[in-house]
Amino acid sequence: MSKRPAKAGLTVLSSDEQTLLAIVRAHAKGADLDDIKGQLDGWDDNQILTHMNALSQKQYVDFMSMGKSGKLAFKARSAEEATKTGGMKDEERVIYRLVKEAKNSGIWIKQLKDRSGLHTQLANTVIKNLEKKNIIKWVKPVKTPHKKVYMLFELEPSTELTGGAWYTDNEMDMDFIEQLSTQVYKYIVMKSFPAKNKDAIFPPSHSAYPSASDIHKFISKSGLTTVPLSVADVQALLDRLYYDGKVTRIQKSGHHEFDDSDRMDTDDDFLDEDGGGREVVRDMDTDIWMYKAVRGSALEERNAWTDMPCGRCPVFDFCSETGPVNPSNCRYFKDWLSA
Amino acid sequence: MPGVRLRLAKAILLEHFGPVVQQVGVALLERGRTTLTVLFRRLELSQKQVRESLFTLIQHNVVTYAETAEGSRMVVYYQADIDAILVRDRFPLYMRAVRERCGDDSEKMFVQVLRHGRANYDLLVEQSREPGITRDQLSEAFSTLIDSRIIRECHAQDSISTEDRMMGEEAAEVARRGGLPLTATEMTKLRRELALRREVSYDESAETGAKRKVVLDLEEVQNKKFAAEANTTADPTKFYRANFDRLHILLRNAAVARVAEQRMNLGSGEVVRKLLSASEHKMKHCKTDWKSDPVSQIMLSSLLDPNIPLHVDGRPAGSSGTLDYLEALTQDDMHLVTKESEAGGGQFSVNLQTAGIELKGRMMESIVQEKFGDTARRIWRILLLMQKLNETQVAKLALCPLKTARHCLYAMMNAGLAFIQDVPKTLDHSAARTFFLWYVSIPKSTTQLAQSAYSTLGNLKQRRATEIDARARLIEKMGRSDIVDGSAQLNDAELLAVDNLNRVVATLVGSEVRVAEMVMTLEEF
Repeated sequence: MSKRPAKAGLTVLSSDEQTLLAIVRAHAKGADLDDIKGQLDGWDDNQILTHMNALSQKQYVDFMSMGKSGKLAFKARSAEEATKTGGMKDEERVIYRLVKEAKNSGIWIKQLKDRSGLHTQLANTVIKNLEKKNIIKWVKPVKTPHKKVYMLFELEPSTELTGGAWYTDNEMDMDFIEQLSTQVYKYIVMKSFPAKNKDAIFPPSHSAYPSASDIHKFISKSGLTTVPLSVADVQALLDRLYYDGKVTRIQKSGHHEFDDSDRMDTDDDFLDEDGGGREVVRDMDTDIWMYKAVRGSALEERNAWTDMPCGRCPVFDFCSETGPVNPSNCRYFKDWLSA
Repeated sequence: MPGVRLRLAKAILLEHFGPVVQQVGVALLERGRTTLTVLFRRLELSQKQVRESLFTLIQHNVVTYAETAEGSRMVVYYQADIDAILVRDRFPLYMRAVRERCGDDSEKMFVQVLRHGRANYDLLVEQSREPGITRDQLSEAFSTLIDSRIIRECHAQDSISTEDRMMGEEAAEVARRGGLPLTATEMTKLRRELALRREVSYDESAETGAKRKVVLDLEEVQNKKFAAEANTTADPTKFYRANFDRLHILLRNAAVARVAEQRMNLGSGEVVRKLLSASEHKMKHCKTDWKSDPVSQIMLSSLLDPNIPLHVDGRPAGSSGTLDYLEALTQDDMHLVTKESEAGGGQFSVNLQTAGIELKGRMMESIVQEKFGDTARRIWRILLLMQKLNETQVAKLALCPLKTARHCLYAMMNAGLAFIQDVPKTLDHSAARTFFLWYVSIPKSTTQLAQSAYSTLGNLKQRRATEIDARARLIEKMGRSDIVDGSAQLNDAELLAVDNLNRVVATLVGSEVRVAEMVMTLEEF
């Protein structure tokens, strides 16, 4: 149970205080007065509270209320945090606490100032100080790029703020999406038509069309991207292809058994370790559809109207039989006919 | 809206019938139902010219007339049908369809039908005769046209416009009920009854060939040979005209089969084609036919062209893949084919309404893509599949930045391909408290696009006229007798100009036919 003593350079703790801190640290979720009294023989409430106050002042312990009754409880701070906050001023601590509470979704600077109750100017200096010390940092949320949002320095911003896998530097990375979906489409095409005879179709009972998780697996294995993609991301990509009319989806009948037609993936271990698949969702929601490429979606019949100037004319609505813009003197016609 | 159609109708009248008939036709289109006296007064033409123009237009099924009693005298009203004029622009399409379906001889005969508007058997044979074609061949061609109902017999009532016919029927019915004027409610009721009666009597009347009634069952066609003989002995008082409704059905069916072919493969195209042709004889009109008759898988297998193999993976060559193809088509999310029942190894039908919408949808999709790019096409499809969405939802589903999505949506709205529905949260309809939901509607866009297409056709025709007018002297020279008989030649520059003119006119005419096809898809399917 013995904890290492407080680091040099920090406020020195008395032996009583150290004992108390050790007990509080043992309760990761916080300890109330009764818990502590049970482990300490012969201490009375008053004694505990005095020492607790001292610990709190030295930034080792937080006061909190527990349960519905709001019973007073104590929670130890980690040694690292104690070091960090130990040297802070009160106002810095207020800001720090608010930023910490916001976790990786961050807190907007305006809210931060409001909730801290500090004077704007003071709040600004404090925030700047903490930033300088690399304790907090600000990020630009992708949805509201004009808002400054603060979070602890060591935290990764949540996907809510960064926009997820599709965003690079707060911009939707269209090239990345385009290339990835081309690859995915190629994969689906490969799986959609019988290899032996390209003109044949698979029987309707064919169930080896790839599903979202199959494609997720394919992407993680292939090393197409270093960006970690979740199944939901892949699903979005597939939806995009579906809305493009390039693939169609077929509902799986019953449960999908892994048959050996899934030969693309060499090992059957579903939880792959390499970079990509951190979370592999295997529920029916994502795997209810199988995806199949549509033949000839690219060689769509050309459209008569847009093949000639009128279909693409910027002044089509203005054009009339005898008006200033008319078919007889139309320069688009002229270009088209002289081509 | 009528502006663009009227402009096009004018151009077509001029092209097909010349300036005098055009004047009469346009006067009738602009005025509506008109008597001869009014026409005389309105037009600066001699009475003879007006009468003869009307005769021409009636002969070509463009103008209809009705005798109405006004007091003690009978007045004849004339009325032009704009659709009958606009349909003339699609003659090349119909001719091609007839050639593909019934062969060259039938096409020749069909061209004569189109050229004369109405013609009897003797005239058709006379006009279609060419060295190397026997009378028997022509008579066979005529039977083919009649059997496929591509041409049909003219009836006395064909000359009377639909409106006049309805008015006549109503008057007769009112007279039968005692002749007292009816109240508005009674009138509505009567009209509904009459509409129903017309619907029912349809089978027995209009659609028939010559002496037979319409063949609605395949079994009845067994004595086809006999029937064909009966046709060839048609009497000279029977006149025949093209049946465009029928041609639209044939063209629609071919287009639907082509879609299946593109989407899957040659085999599935053939399956859909035969599925449709099995009940083609029963289809009445593109707009009213809901679905094709169910055909059993076994029956269909016997109809299929053995030259088009139905390959199925894992199935030995030679065994029938019909069922697999049908099931695959049913599974496809185009929902072209539906399984009706399990009887006879599965009964399948083609959903004609969906197919018509699919054809229009595909056209719009390609227009959206060509005009506004891939992202816009994706957004259009999202809206089509998901119905009503706001901008943010659209951007999220399309996986594109909100700005791009908004840009595409507004561009499409301006082109009449996407629409906004506002849903106010409060009574004051304040924009800040309103949901703006985007949606696409194929019927709405159809009207819009049809208008654009009509106006485009007008543009093309006008441009063609301009191009030809600009070379009027050259054309005149080409027609000179010394040039024609070869005693004088055009110089190099002129020859170049002739080449150029031919190319330009060919481009314009080619585009006209294609845009006319687009109009047909939008308006008729």
